[in-house]
Amino acid sequence: MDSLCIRTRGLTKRFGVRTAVDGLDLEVGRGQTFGFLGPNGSGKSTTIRMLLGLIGPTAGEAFILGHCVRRERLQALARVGALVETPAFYQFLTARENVRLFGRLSAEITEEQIVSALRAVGLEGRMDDRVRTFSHGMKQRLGLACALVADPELVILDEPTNGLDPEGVKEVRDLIRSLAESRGMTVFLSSHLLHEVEQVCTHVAVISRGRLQAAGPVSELVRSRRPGVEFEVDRPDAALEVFRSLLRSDSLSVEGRRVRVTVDESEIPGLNRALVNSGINVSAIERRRQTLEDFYLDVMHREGTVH
Amino acid sequence: MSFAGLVRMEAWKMMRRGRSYIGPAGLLAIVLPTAIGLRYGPMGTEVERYVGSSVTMIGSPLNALFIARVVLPPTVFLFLPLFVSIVAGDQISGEAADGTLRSLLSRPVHRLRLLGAKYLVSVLYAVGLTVFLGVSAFAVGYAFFGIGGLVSFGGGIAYFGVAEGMERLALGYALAGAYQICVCSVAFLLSVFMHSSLAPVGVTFALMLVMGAVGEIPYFERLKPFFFTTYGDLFLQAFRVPLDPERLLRGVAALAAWTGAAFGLASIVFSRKDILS
Repeated sequence: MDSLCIRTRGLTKRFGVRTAVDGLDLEVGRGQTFGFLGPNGSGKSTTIRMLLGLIGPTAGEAFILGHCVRRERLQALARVGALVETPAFYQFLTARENVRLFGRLSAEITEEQIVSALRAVGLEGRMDDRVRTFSHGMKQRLGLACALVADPELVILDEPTNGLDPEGVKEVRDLIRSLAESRGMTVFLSSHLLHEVEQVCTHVAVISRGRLQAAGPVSELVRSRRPGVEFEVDRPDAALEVFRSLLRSDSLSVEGRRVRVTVDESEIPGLNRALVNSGINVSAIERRRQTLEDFYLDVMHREGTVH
Repeated sequence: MSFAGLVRMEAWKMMRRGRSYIGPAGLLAIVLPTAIGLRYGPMGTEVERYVGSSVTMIGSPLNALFIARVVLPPTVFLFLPLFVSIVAGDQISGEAADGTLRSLLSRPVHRLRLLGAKYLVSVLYAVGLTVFLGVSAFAVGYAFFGIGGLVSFGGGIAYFGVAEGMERLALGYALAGAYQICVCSVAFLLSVFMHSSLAPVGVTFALMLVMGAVGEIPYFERLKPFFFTTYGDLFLQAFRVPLDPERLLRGVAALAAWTGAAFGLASIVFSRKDILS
C-alpha cells in the first residue's frame, strides 16, 4: 500500500501561454492534515482540480491513494471527499436530498450516515429545507457534509471556512481537527487563513506562481526561520537606516515605533549597540514568537510576491 | 455508480425541476384552446363546411383524431423544439453555470456514463413530450367531440377510417418524435460548449432558422438534404396516400445521422473538457 495519499510528479497545467501550475512535486502522507497555501492566482485551485480529474494536466501526473488520476480516475476518487471552491448544490432539492445524491455517487450510504453528516456540520435542524433558502455559510457547511458523508479516506477542502462567521470557523476548525485525530482521515486543506492553517495542519506546502516554494511539517518550517526581534525606538526611520547599513533590507519592517528585524540571536546586542551609538533611544527589545504567517510572508518576500 | 443508477438519478432530478413542466403545461395551453376554438368558435363550422365540400363523410370531421392531427404542425416546428431544447440544452450548460457539474465530477463518476445518462433522459423527455402531446390532444378531442375518422389536410385532403387514422397518427407522431430527438441532440451538443442554460436554446433556434432560410435559397439547393431542418415536416409523410416508404426511410436516416453525430461529438468534447466553472 502506498504510504502517500497524494503524490504529484512534475504536475503542470498551461492555459494557452499562461502556466498556472509549473512542475509541481507534492507529497501528502496518510493521516496528515496538510495545508496548501499560496496567494490568489498561485495555482492552488488548478492543482486541486487536477487532483480531482476536473481538468487534465498538460504534463506530469497526479496520484491519489496510489492510483493515477488520469488513467484510473474512478479508483483514485473512490475514497475521496471534496469541497471545491464555492460549494454548488441543486437549489430545488433539500439539504438531505443533496447529501444523498452526491454521497451515493461515491458509495452506498444509509440514511443514518446522511443524518450523521448533517449533524456533524450543525445542519440537523434544516436538513429537510430546500437549499435555495440557505445562507452562504450554511451552504459551506452542507458542502462539508457532502464531502464527509461517504466516510472518505482523503478529504480535499478548498477554502472550507469561506463565508462562515467566527463561531462557524471555529466549529469547522474543530471538525477538521477531529477528522484526522479521531477518524484517521487525511485532510488536504487549501486556505488563505494562515492562523487557521497553523492551528489545524501538521504539514504545509507553499505555492507561488504555480511553483512549490516550500513544504514540510509546520513545526519544522516555522523553526527553520530565523527569529524575529522588535526594537521599540524613538526614531524608527533613523533606526531603519542604521539597520539597512547592517542587514538585508528584506528582513526589515516598521510598524509605528517598532522596527522588526529577522536576525540570529547573537546579532541582537550588536544591533542595539549600533542604535545607541547613533543616538537612537531604545525603550524595549522584544523577541517575537515565529508563526506560520512569518514563514509564509518570508517565502513570499523571497519570491517577490509580497513587497 | 452504475449507468442505470445515473439514469435514475438524472430522471429524478428532471422530475424535481420546475422547468421540466413548462413543456407539458405549454402543450396543454395549445391543445385546449385549439379544441375550445373549434368547438365553440366559427373555425369549427368553417372546417366542417370546407371538408363537406371536398369529401363525403358521415358526421363531423371534428373529433379526437382531428385534434391530434391539427396540433402537430405548430408544435413540431416551434413549441416542441422550444420545450425540448429548454431541457436538453440545460443538461450540461446549466450544471456548469450552477457549479453542480464540478460537484458531480469531483466524485468517482465516469464522465461518458454521466453524459450518456443525461442524454438518455433528455431523449426520453423529448419522446415523452411528443407522446404527451398526442395523448392529451386525443383525450381533449375525445372529451369535446368524441371519436371518428381522420381528415387530414396538406397536399390535398385525405380521409382515413378510425383504425387507419389511428395508425397514421401513430406514425406521424413517431416521425415528429424522431425530429424532436434530433433537435434534442443538437441542443444537448451545444449544452456541452456553453455555460448558460438559455444559450443552447437560443443557438439551437438560430441554427434552425439559418438552416431553414439557407435551404430555401436556390443556390444552396444541394445543401438542403444535409440540414436536419429539412426533415422537420417528415411527419406529414404519414398522412400521404399512398405512403412513400423510401422517402420516409431517407428522412429517418438523415435524422438518425444528425442525432448520432451530435451525441458522438458531445461525447468527444465532454470526455476531454476541462471543468473550470
